[in-house]
Amino acid sequence: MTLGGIFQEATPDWAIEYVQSLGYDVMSVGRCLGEEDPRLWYKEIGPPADVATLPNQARRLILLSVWVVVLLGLPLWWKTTRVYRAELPYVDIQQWNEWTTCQPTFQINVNLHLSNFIALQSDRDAQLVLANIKDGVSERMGALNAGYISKANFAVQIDVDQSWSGSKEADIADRPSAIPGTYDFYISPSSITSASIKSQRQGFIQVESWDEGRIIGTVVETLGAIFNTEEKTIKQLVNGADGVGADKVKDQLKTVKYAPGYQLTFSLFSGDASNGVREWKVQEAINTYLAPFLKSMSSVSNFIVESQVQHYASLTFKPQQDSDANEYYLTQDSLPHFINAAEWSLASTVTSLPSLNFLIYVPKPSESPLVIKNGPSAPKSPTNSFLIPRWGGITILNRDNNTSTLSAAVITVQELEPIMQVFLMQLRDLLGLIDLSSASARVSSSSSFPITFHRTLNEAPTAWELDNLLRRRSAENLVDSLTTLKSLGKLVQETPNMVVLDHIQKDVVDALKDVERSCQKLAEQGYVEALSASREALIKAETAFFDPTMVSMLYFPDEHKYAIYMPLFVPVSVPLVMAILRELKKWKEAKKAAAAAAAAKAGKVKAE
Amino acid sequence: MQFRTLLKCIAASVFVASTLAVSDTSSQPYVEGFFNKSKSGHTNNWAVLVCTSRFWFNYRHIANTLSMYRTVKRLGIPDSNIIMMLADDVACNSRNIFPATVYNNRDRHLDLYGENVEVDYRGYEVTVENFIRLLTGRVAKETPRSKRLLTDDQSNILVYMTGHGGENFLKFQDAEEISAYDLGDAFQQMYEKKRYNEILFMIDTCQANTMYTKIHSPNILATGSSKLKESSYSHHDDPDIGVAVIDRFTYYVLELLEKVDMQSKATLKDLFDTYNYNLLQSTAGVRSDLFNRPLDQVLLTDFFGNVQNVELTEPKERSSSVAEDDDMTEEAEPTILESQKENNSQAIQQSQQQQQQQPQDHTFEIGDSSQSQTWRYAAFVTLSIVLGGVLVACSTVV
Repeated sequence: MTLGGIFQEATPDWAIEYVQSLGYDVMSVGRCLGEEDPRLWYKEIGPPADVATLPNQARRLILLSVWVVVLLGLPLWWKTTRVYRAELPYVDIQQWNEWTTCQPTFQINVNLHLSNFIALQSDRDAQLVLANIKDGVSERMGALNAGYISKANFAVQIDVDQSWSGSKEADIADRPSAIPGTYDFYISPSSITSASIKSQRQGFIQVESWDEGRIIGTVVETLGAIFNTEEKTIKQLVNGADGVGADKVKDQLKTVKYAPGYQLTFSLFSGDASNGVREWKVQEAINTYLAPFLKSMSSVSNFIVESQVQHYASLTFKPQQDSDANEYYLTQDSLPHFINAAEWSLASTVTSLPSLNFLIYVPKPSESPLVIKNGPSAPKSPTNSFLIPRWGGITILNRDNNTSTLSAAVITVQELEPIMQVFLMQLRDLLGLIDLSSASARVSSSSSFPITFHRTLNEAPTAWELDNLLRRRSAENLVDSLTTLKSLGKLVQETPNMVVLDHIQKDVVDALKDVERSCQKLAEQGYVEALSASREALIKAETAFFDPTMVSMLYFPDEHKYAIYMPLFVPVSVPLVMAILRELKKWKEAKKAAAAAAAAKAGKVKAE
Repeated sequence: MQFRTLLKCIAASVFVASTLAVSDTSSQPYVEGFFNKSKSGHTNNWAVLVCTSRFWFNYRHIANTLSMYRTVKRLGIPDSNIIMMLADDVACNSRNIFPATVYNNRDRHLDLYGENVEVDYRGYEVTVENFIRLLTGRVAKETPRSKRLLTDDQSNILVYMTGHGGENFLKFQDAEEISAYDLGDAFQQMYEKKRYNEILFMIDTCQANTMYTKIHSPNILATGSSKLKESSYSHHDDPDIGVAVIDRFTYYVLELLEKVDMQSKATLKDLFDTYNYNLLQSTAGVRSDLFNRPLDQVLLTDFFGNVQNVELTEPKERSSSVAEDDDMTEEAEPTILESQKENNSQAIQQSQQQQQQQPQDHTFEIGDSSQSQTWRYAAFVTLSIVLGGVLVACSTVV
């Protein structure tokens, strides 16, 4: 109550009126105050106590209590304003990226079955010869890519026996190995040296002269043709030799990135209604020509297939006319502009899966036949189709005008067959299936004997190609998930303001576990499990990396923090600090005074 | 004249040599690859076009962005690969006397809003956070495909931004700002996750060049409209619409891009060479130290278009052929450049004439700068004196 401090002489009338207006009785209020005359109320209310006049102890207690609150509050403030950061296994991530925890070993078992039709031309013990062949092949296979140092290695395990009773290709047992990575080779003597690789995990090798050295040489060369490119690619991949720009490997440019699923979109674009095309039997064609392929590829990725028809799809430019051949043509230069991106709706909004497009374009009658060639007299493309890397394939379909009206409206399965074959080839390229026949032709053109590669009857990928893809995609996924984790670790360490929640930590730890599982499965030859584990690892690593909570506070330097805290803390802290200083000063003075008094007293006593 | 014949000789010999080279390489197997053509090594193109300003008087920023959108679409980038952020919808603004249209020129020949415009982020969705999330890919799970930047290690990305900015920042929506550091960090994270092959960052705002100073990731090329302490200006206004319709920098960039088609071999160097202080009234800058290709070999269509390398499919033998098609056009190149230069010089003359006729008539302030500050101070002082006087007069009357 400061009333007394303000009204020194008498309680003013308005104050009394105010009390009355509040509905209180002046007399009763006066009785409470101990002075019934309201004009004398002011005497009852004394001036406020001055802090300085408080006893020392009380003042210090007040000061202390304020400071205790502040000091207790500091850790609380620190704790509540700190960002939560779950600890990530940085060391593990680092070790994994250096492949010190586990080196990816691609286990391959090769069983060589020698024909027992004729005994080997050797005077030594048969068992010893077999052992020699085994050692010889193993040694030379190991030396094949030894110059290429990498953390990844191909462990080729050779087993030799001479229990095969056949000698011709037709005699090969009808039970091919069902385990990816285990292959059977049947070797027999013959008048010429040749190798024939079946579509399943079997091979047949004929050797000209039936002796140890020749067998070893032929087997090594055959195995080299199958595995050499792949081994190099994988080693390169694991080494992280990921070129930029022009250094990139071509196949890498063409092949889509690995995803657990893809969406295949088959589109029919018709240039004009006057060409009469109304529908196409795409479903039947896909079921007939693509289904076996997609089915056997489903061990690697899943596929969603959809189709669409669009009419009045015009090109952005006019094709050039070749009046001699009475046809229109597109040069290779104009092919990149073929897709009318502005008007053709090709983007799917249904799924977030990466999509691959396959497009059939039926030109309008005024522009057909439409072919691809580089000039009026140049040879035209036999397939009339082309591939756009990582995007899909395009085929231009010129329809015969002489066909009956019924078939003009419908594109039949028969008509689609050659196109589907082309699409299949393109799909193989896009999915990264390496064609062994072309791959080996590229690398070892110096092969001293013919090697034939068989295909499956239904155009499904061969077991060799599939195993190759399983190994390569596993390696790719492992590398990708590890680099993602590494980037994540780097990101978290570089941004101290970023919140790292527990589920990020869990994802990272789980991803590392999956990487480890995948690496182990590879060594155990469990390719399918290895791929699925590596896929899990990749998904988890990417989930963690792309988690929406992983966006740190926007640029928030320390100056900003000062700017935020200063206006509050400086005004609050000034009186607190000043009070302490004043108190200290007082205490010192008091001490000095006490000392002086004591001295004076002592002096007095002395004097007395 | 002699010089010209000499040139012709050289061109002819180059042509002959190149055809010889073609015949030579075509006999080589497969290995060399047709991708030699694309020096950049990209297989897809993306564009992120951002207008960060709201309100009617910022009409020109929306027009800038829509013009860029139209250009990249014309050059072949599909809508699915264009992420457009427009902070306001001036086409439907009640002040727009040409409803549902946006023009970038006084003659109003070209309606940018057209029939086929896909705006991915609009209005209040255009925030710094959404932009950063878009770039880094850290979007919420339920985000539709059209709002995601689904790029990979072979994507070339054009990032175009326009709005009001200042030293090291660009305002979003008058409410928040993105700093050059945020941008640099976002690009770095994209690099870490291999989300791009190359980026062209283009920004039209005041002191724009400061925005790319904090980028530190490789393979990024940056260009801005004005240097530190410099404003960027609008180009001209439309008296009927009542506001400026396009900015200078964008205007002159578009002037060149309009002459480019999908087959064009014009390079980024050609674009950067057109930057002219007299036209832009600001010092446009280029930062290429992070970029490892010479600018005269970088085609404009590497960023503004979607020119992909194709591979002809050969029948049955699955080995594919090599498509060598870059040599055919070599001859045409000089003529394109020549015509450009002529056009440019014409444009310069024209605009200089224009400027003489109407000196500085249509210059609008875009952002904070010292001039505007002094102007603001003066206005503030006059206003307070007037108000003070009124107050004093009123009190004496009372």
